[in-house]
Amino acid sequence: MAAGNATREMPLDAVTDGRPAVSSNTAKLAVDDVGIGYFSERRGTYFEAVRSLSFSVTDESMVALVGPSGCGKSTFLRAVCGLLPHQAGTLLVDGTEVNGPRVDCSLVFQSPALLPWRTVSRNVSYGLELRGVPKAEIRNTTAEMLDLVGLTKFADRYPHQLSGGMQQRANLARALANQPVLLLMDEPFSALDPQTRDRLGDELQRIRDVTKQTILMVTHQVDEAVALADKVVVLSNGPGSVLAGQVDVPLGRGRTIENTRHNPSYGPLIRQLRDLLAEASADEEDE
Amino acid sequence: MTVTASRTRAQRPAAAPRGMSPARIRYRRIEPVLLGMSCLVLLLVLWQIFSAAGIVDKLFVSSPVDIIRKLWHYLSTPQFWTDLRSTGITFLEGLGYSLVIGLILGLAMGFFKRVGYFFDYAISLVYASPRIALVPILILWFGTGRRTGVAMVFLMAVFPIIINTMTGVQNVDATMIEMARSQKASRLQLVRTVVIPASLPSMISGIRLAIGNGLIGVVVAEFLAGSNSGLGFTMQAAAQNFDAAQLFAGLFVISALGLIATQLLKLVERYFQRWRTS
Repeated sequence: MAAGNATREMPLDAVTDGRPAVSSNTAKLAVDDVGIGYFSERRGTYFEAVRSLSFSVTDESMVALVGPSGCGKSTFLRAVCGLLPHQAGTLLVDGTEVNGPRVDCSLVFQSPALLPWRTVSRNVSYGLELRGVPKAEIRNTTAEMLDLVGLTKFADRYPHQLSGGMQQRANLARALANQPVLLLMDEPFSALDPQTRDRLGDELQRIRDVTKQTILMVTHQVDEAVALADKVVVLSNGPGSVLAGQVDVPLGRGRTIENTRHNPSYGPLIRQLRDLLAEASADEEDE
Repeated sequence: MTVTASRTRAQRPAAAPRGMSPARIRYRRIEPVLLGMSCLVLLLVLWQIFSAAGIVDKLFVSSPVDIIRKLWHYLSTPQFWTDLRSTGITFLEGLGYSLVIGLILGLAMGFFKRVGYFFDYAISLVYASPRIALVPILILWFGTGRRTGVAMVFLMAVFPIIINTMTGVQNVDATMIEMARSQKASRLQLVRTVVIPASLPSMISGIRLAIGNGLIGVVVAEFLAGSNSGLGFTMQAAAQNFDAAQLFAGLFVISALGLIATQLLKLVERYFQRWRTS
């Protein structure tokens, strides 16, 4: 497990509820000097999205990946899932290398991408159906997932009958139905209004407590990152995003978005991250 | 500070604008139908009057009353059923071929970029030209009789199906495809569970166009190569005998066929799209 070159880990005194933030030290995701790029047909050149990125996500923890828009965060997430190839370095998920699309990673997109001609229940079971899971098991798992996200009453509705927040919950249920080793989220709440966003953030925390899911979430909202994550990894802007820094968020479990905002360490953490981001953009200008 | 929710404007029952009696409201609702129908009725009445008064030559133009009489008579003859069967089977056969080839080719062209590029120019070229003018060539190749009709229906019907299906596939929401890929869907699963359901509306509108175009094809083919039966043949024979009423009667039957076919298609569409109206 390699540590990044520019790691700055400065935990501040924080009020926790006594529970440790993570329970073990095994890395569900190990990113070592990874580079990702692709040939842009439009520009006719090789475009480097991510350059020598290194960090790790430990078991049962949640890591937020922040950075300015367009800095390759989404590209990186797809590479972790195996949807895009990475050119340099090693990506290890659960100890094994990422060579292609991985069954043990689930990706939650910003847009719910529910199939409109299927009911909520059949959308949640989509991944299981594709893998040929037996019908009885599909039924049980689907019911479990719907209950987890609080959509049991809407199981037989169609997506167009659901609000944006409910659709995103269905999206999450579908991702969790595969019981992934690593859950990847790409700005999952940024298309929602602030109230819904806060509520879903709390729901995510609750689900995390129940399922002990390991999560890597991309967000461009620093406050969301601090409110939800155990660690925040900051990327700088191009060409080729590099690690600008990592910040631990020792606020412990049992947070809600509301009480986090009132936590005395909240402000300093936010400021620290904003400074990192500003530095990262400034570095780019110097190059 | 508490905020009490009061009944919003949207919740209060809509009140009719002042001065509108219930009868007036009812009239307003049927006004479009009423006006539209009165235009048709007016045209028919004028037609009948001009025809009966000799202002237009009955020989060339007939009259609504005569047409209805002729139609009534025509429907009771065995010739009608022969014609219907001949045209109907020719049409359905050509449509069948065009469905199979059109849907498959359209799917392939939409799904595989290079297949699309390969066939694009050829298809656009043939689609843009007046294919109906190819009937004489088809007669040369297939002779007079049903085969020419089938070929013509195919030529007219296959292109809207190909083009609409291809566009439908190309316009499938990319995020849905990405989602399916992230769920590790194989190519076949992708097509079966995402691409086909998503492009169904486009396919159906393509088939609707195909029905209309196909009917034109079969009728014109029968004009020129109908041998001795078929609705087109009857129409063309009637014209040669200056039997305008018979011609219009035949036209009426064909229009009715087209209407029935499109209504059936609408039922199919409604079945597949029932999720929309939940």
